[in-house]
Amino acid sequence: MQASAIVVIGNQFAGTTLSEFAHQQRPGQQGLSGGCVEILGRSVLELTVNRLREADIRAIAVIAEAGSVPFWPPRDLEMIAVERSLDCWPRAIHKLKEYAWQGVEDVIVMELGPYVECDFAETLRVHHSRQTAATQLQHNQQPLDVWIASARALSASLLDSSALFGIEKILGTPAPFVVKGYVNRLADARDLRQLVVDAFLGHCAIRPRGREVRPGIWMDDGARPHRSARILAPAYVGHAVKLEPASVVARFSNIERNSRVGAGTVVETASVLPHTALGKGLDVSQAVVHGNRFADLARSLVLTVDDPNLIRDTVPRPWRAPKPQREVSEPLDTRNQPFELEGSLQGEL
Amino acid sequence: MTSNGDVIVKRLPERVGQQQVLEFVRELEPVLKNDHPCLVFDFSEVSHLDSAGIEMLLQCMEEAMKRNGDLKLASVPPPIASLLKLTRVDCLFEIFDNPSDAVTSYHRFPVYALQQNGGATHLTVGAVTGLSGPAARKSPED
Repeated sequence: MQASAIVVIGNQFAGTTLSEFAHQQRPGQQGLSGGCVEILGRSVLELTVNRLREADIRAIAVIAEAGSVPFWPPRDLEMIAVERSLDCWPRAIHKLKEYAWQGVEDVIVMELGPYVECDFAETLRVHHSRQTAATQLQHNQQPLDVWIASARALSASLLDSSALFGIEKILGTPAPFVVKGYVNRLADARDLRQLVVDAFLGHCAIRPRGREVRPGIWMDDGARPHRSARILAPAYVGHAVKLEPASVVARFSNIERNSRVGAGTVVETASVLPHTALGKGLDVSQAVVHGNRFADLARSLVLTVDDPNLIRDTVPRPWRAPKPQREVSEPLDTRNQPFELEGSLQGEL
Repeated sequence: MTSNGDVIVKRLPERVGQQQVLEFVRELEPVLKNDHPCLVFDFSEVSHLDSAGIEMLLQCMEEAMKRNGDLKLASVPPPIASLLKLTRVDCLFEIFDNPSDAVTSYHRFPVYALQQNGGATHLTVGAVTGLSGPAARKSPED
């Protein structure tokens, strides 16, 4: 049985609080979709690809908007970049046609991001035994954006159809397949926190990257906790994360790669996503922080914090030429004036 | 700035940042130099607050308390409340739903702070931590 997979990374990370996360503009990347979100050192895309590989699916095409994948994808994936997120599905249908012409029997088509733990080998077997054109995965009586399509059965309709049609039109009415494994729809920040907690509790198959330095405390390569920093289990400190003096990373918190926790700051039951710097003396609890975006789960709101003393993005800014200095009509003679420090109320908190 | 008896209610501008703070403090300076300055900052129009603004709040509170006065906050929008919590400043201030409640709190003798219960006198949680409202008036035994 020859099978391939098409993974579409769409802007599915929508919901009460993280919808704004999905569309934020960061230098070097255009947004954060559920498929690109990193949990305990691994992206949902990486976890999904690993699961597909376990089902012996080798040819995997990943379709994403150009610049929307904020990490280096595995080499053996066929990465297809499109100009706009709207072009993702037409490109996926085009790829489906390609697989059909190449004689691939079954194609798994999915959109990230929900995180789905499914035995794809078993799903393929069930799909074959039913001899239907398409099967769609379901969880809790709700359909998931995961289909298995028999490429040969679809080829005729595919050749006739325009790429502007949605995948649902092409696949018709698929037969449902109920997923028994763990599913998290990653629709909002609460879902993300739930996934982190479930991973720590072992309710899903996600295991933190790095090594368990103490029971329940995982640390990835290059993590730099200060000797006075405290980490309370279960917690995850990602690659190249810096924990400054007297900072605290408390229960069920994850600090993802290239982030920084300022001196005296407490992170408790919170997620700090990659490339985020937290200032000094903060209390980050029941929250998800990404760049300068702060999702307060207790109040169900998302803040954009402009003050870099509080939280900020650590993605390197592109170089810009300095602004030309303003021309002064009469040059001031400051030779004999005493130097004074400008009074300022702004200081480090 | 409005005066309600001996309590001064000051409405903060939409943006409380580095630029606005200097002017704001200059305006407030005479009030802060009085004896027992009782201040209420009305946050109803505030949509932006940064670390300079938070520093200003702490400075005003410090100045008021030096002269046996106090500073209370009112009508704090949820995003600003979130920011105050993030910076751990929320626990330093009494925060009220509206300015009139904040003004009333100055005029009320804090009898709830001392509560007779079975012959023993208990200091309420609100009096210690600066909490307000009915929850704060309960003694630990309630």
